[in-house]
Amino acid sequence: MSFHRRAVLALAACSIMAVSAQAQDWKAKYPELIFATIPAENAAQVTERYKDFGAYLSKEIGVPVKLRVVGDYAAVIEGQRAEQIHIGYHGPASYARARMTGVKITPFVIEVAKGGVKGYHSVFYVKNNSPYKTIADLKGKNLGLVDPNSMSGNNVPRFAMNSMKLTPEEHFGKVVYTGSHVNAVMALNQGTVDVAANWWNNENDSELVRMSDKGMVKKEDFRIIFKSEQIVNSPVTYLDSLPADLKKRIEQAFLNAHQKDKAAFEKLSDGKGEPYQTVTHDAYLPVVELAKFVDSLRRK
Amino acid sequence: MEMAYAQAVALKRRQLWLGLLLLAVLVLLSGHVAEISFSKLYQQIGGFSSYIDRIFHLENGRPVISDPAEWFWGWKKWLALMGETLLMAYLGTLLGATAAFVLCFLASQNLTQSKGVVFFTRRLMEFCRTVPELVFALIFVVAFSLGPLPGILALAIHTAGALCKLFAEVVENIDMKPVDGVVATGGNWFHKIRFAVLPQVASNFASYALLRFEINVRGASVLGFVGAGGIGQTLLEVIRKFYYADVSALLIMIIATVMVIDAVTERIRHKLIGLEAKS
Amino acid sequence: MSDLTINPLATSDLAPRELLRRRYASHFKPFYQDNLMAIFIGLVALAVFVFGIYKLEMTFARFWGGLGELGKMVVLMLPPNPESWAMTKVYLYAVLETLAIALLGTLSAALAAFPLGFLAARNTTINRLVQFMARRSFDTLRGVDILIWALIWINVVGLGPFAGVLALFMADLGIFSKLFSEAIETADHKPVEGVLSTGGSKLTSVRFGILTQLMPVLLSQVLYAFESNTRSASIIGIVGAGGIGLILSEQIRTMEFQQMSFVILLILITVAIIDFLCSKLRFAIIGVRAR
Repeated sequence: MSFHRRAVLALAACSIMAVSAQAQDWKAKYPELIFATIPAENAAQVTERYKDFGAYLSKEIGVPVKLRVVGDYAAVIEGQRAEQIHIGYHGPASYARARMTGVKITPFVIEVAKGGVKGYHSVFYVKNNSPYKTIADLKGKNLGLVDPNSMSGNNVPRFAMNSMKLTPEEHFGKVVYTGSHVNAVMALNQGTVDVAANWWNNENDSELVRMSDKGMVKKEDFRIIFKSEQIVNSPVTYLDSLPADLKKRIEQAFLNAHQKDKAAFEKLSDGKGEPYQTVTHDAYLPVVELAKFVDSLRRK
Repeated sequence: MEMAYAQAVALKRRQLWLGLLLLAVLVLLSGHVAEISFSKLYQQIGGFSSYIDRIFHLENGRPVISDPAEWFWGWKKWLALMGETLLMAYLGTLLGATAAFVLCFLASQNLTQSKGVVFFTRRLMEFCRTVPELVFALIFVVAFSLGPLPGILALAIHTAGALCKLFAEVVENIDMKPVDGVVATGGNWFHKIRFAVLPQVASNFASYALLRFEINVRGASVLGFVGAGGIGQTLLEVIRKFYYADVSALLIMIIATVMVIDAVTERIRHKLIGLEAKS
Repeated sequence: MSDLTINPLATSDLAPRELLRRRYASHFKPFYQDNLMAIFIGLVALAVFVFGIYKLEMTFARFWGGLGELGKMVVLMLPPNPESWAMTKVYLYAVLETLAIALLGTLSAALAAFPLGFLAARNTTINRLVQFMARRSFDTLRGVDILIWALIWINVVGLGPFAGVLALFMADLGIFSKLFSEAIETADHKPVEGVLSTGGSKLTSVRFGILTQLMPVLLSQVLYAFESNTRSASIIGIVGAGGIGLILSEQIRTMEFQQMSFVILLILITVAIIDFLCSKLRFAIIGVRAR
């Protein structure tokens, strides 16, 4: 071989080594990844639902992925702001809030429900044996919301009631944030509130159905008196500061989850969900607008 | 003699070192259990100061004092909630103090014959005092529904327990001679309390009750976290929704209120202690 | 005293009543004359009370109805039942975590407050301005309830007991600093003068003059605070700052009343044990038996 070709080969070999070294570089910087989700349910239920998926992610991505249980929606936002949480599963409103307060994250996949539907609804439940037919009937009664940063559990209900020319704090006797979708249903069950906001995909896929399947409540005890327009589904986000290589691996892991570890993937949605699809920030622009609008309602 | 002194000092020293060693072991164990991480604290302490920084800046990025009107935009609403909080603390303290007043005599060994009654009352009050107010509030919210009522009851029960213990201690320290005097003139139990015990303890009772009120104002401000009324729920909401300037505004209102109550009750308490010293 | 029979006053003893009335006129005045101030305060207090009841919708109906509900819940709460040994282990560990939080929080605050107390005491501070600023800062720390500190610290170090320890530290720092400074201010100055007069420096005068008086008082306050802090530590879990609070609030939400009463029983027993140990410790250190 001529000297020239040897040099080119050597250079090629070096660059390949450099690239692979760099590819492994991020493993040194990120010995483990923290994955957190908004607490739609309670701590024990969240752990139960996500732990197999966490194991799958660890295998696929190549570093341990630890599930971090947080107490409220804002904690995921703060965690990502402090770059303590690397992969965050948000609701649309908490994602909007994160971006609005300057957290540097990007959504990379979106949840998909049965039938390829990339959206869900906010509903109001009342007890089946109660006399209420419309929101107007509930004047002076107690409303149970979910979390200040919940789309279906706060923002959309407030937006909807504003369209009905109602101010929640004036129309209802008491408005309380119960902390999670599960808590809202429990509060309704106990009678602490007379109406509760919750998320709903379809007749067979909602928080109420999940709770009923677990035996916590009986879904026949409740009835829906209001259903909102469709809301864009929840995103999974990662920190902008992660290396491109790592981001690719995370994306691939989520997009292929339904094939590579069907059981863990199905557990996430009680078997009712379809594979993840890619998404960008644009899908959530209306959500940001809604969040700003709900913020402005406060000042009235 | 000198040997004995040196030995006593040496013994005390040994005890001290042993005690400190035990304490050190406990501290290390606790540090492990409580997941203390000084490196994490060091890394994150910037987060604390950045949080403090953020809550003192408005949404447009300017410092809060540059625009007080904007900073305290909701002052009417918030003042009303602060008032509700104060009222809750007041009612809770009054109810609790009344209950404690009635029960403390049953818990004092020098006024109640039956040892059983004293024991039972004391244990009951301990229960009321030990279970944290927030736990009572959580339970009461389920029973009494949302609003200030469960909060007031939670405060009242805890106050009753705490004050009853203090009241009973005061009663057990009184001079028994006036009590004997009233008995000697044919007075019954009620006369005993009214004429012999009360004059000695009234100002102490009032002083403790005022101290309790001050503590309860602080406690009432967070009962809203669980839906039991007051400014707590609003505070929780603004913290979680990252309405930063509102967080500092509300915190300042709460702190200012507590400071004022502190100062006022301290004045009154000094007057009461002065009265007590005179009598 | 034991064999004296007490004869109630006979009517004949009342004979010189007029004489007594004239001699001790002030004791025969009607009740309301002397105590106008007290009566006025009492009426105002009552008025505020009634206003409060009305404003906060504390109707008797609500109270009575709620009492019924409470009764039902209490029945459901007995007997305390942890369901399983696995759960009991979880509860016991959580109690241990609570105690750890209380110990570390109290200790760190006491240690930090020790020097700060001197700054806030009029007789040992640098100047009046420093003393005033110190006092106001401690008031600020004290004015914020520990739950609020917990929320703030969770934002900094994340969920878990570490945030709880830091929250307890902040809250107690204000309390201890104020208590310590008050104890320093009321300390007897004579031992200090004594040391100074034998040629000791300011430092030694503080060490042997004030500290020896102070230590028992301070330690007693710290021990008392530890018991109170155990209770505080048991609720900060409700917002996620570690300890048994999270478990408790979840049990109430999911209406697992028997398990909840078991946990409350655990808390009661723990505090009683701490109480007992602290009073024993106080006796060992100070030699004063607590009642």
